[in-house]
Amino acid sequence: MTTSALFAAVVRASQSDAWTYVITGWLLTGAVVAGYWLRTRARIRVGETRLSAERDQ
Amino acid sequence: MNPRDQLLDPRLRRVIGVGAVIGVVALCLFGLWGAPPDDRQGEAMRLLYLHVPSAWLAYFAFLVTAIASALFLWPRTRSIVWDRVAGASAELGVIFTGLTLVVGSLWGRPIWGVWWAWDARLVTTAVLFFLYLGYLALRRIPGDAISTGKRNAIAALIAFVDVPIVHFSVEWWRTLHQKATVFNPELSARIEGVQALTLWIAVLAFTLVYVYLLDRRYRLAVIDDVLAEQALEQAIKIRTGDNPGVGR
Amino acid sequence: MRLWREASLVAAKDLRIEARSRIALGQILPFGIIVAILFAFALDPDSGLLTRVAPGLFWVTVLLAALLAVGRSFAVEEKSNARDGLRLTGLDGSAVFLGKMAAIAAELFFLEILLGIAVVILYGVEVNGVVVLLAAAPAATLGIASTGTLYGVLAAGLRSRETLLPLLLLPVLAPVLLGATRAFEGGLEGAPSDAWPWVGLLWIFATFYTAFGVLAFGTLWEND
Repeated sequence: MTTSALFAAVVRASQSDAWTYVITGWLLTGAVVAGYWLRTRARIRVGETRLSAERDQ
Repeated sequence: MNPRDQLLDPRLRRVIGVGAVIGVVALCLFGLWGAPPDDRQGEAMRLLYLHVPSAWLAYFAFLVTAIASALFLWPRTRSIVWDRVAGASAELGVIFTGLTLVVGSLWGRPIWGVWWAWDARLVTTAVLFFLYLGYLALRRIPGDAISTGKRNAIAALIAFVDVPIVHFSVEWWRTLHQKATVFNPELSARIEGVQALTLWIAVLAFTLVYVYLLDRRYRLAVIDDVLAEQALEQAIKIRTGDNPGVGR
Repeated sequence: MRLWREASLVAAKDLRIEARSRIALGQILPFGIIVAILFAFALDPDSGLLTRVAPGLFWVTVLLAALLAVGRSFAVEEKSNARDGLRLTGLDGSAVFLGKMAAIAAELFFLEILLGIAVVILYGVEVNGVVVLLAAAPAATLGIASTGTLYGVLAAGLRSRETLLPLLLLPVLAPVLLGATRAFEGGLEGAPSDAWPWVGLLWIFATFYTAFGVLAFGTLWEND
C-alpha cells in the first residue's frame, strides 16, 4: 500500500513539473564533485601513510 | 625533494576550503529556495545556477592548463610545478565540462523539449570534452619528467588553439544552414535581483571549490611522483644488491 | 634553402619506404573503399540519401584512413631503432616535421583521388565545381597531415599508441571534417559561393598547425 502510494507520488512528480529535473541535476552535480573530492582525499591519505611508513623504516 | 610540495600555503587552503563550504551552502539555500522561479522558465531556471558556473569553470580550467603548459615549455620558467598544475586543472576541466553537458541537457529537456540540440555552444563543449579526455589519456602514460612534461604541454596547446577554430566553424555551420529555432529569445531569462545574486554566489562558490580541488589534486600528483621515485630507487637497490634487507 | 632540402630528404625516405611496402595502396586504400561500400549498406542506396551525404561520408572515410596512415608513418621508425638513427643524422626538427608531414599529405592526397573516383562511381555523384574541390582537398589534407604528424610523434613509441591516436586526433580534426564537407557540398552542387569561406577556413587551419608543428616539433623530437 505505502509502496504503491510512494510509486504513484514519484510518477506524479516526474510528470508534473520541472522539479524532477532540478533535483536530478543538483544531486548529480553534488555527487560528482563530492565524489571527486573524497576520492582525491582518500588517495592523498593512503599516499601520505605510505610515505611516512617508508620514512620510518 | 620537490620544487613545491604544496601548491597553496596550508592556511590559505583551509580558508579557501571553509569559504567553499560556506559558498556551497549559500548556493543551495538561494538556488533551491531563496531565488524565485523564473517568469518564463519556471523552476527549471534553478539548473542554470549549476550550468552557468560549470561552463565558466570548464573554460577557465582549460585556460589555466594552457597557461601552465606554455610556462612549462618556456625554458626560463620550466618547472614540474607547471606540468602538475596543467594536469590537475585539465582533470577538473573535464569534470566540469561533463557536468555542464549533463546539467544543460537536463535543463534543455523541460525548456526546449529535447535533450540535445545541435547548437554551436553545445557542440563546441562536447568536442572540448573529448579533446581533453584525449589529453588526460596521454598524461597517464609514464616517462621521465622532462620529456613527458614537454609532450603533455604541447598536446595541451594543440588542443587549446583548436577551441576557437571549432567554435567558429560550428557556429558558422549552424547559422548558415538554419535559423535559430531553439534559442527563442522569448525563453531566455532576464536575470536580475535575487536571481542575479544567486548566479554570482554560484560562480564564486564553484570557483572556490575549483581552487581547493586544484590544490588537492596537485598534492596527490606530488605524492604519486615521490612514491614512484622511491619504488624505482628500491628496485635499483635490489638489483645492485645494496639492500641488506633483501632475502629476509 | 637547407630546411627544404632536409625536409625533402625525409619526405623522399618515407615515400620510398611506402612505395616499396605498398601498405597505402595495398591495405589503406582497400580499407577506405570497403568503408565506402559499408556506408551504402547502412544507408539505403535507392533513397537518394547516399548522393546527398556523399561529401560527408567521403571525408569521414578519409579521416579513418588518415589514422592508419599516420600510425603507419611512425610505426615504420620503431623497428631497429630507426628513430634514433634519424635523430643522429642531425636533421633539424622542423625539417623532419615538414618532411614527414609532406609524405603523409602526399599519400593521403593520392588516396583521396582514388577514393573520390570510387565514391563518384559507387554513389552516383555528379561533380559540378571541380575548382572548389581542387582548392579544398589539398587544404584539408595538409590540415590532417600537420595535426596527424604532431600527434603521431606525441604518441610514437607509447604502448597504447593505436588506441590513443584516434582519441587525440579526431576531436582536433572536427573543424576540418566540417569545413571539407561543406566545401565539397558547395562544389558538387555547383554553388561555389557557399564553399569558398570554408576553403578559407581549411587553409587557415592547415597554415596554423603547420606553423605550430615547425615551431614545436624540435622540442618533441630531440629528447623523448
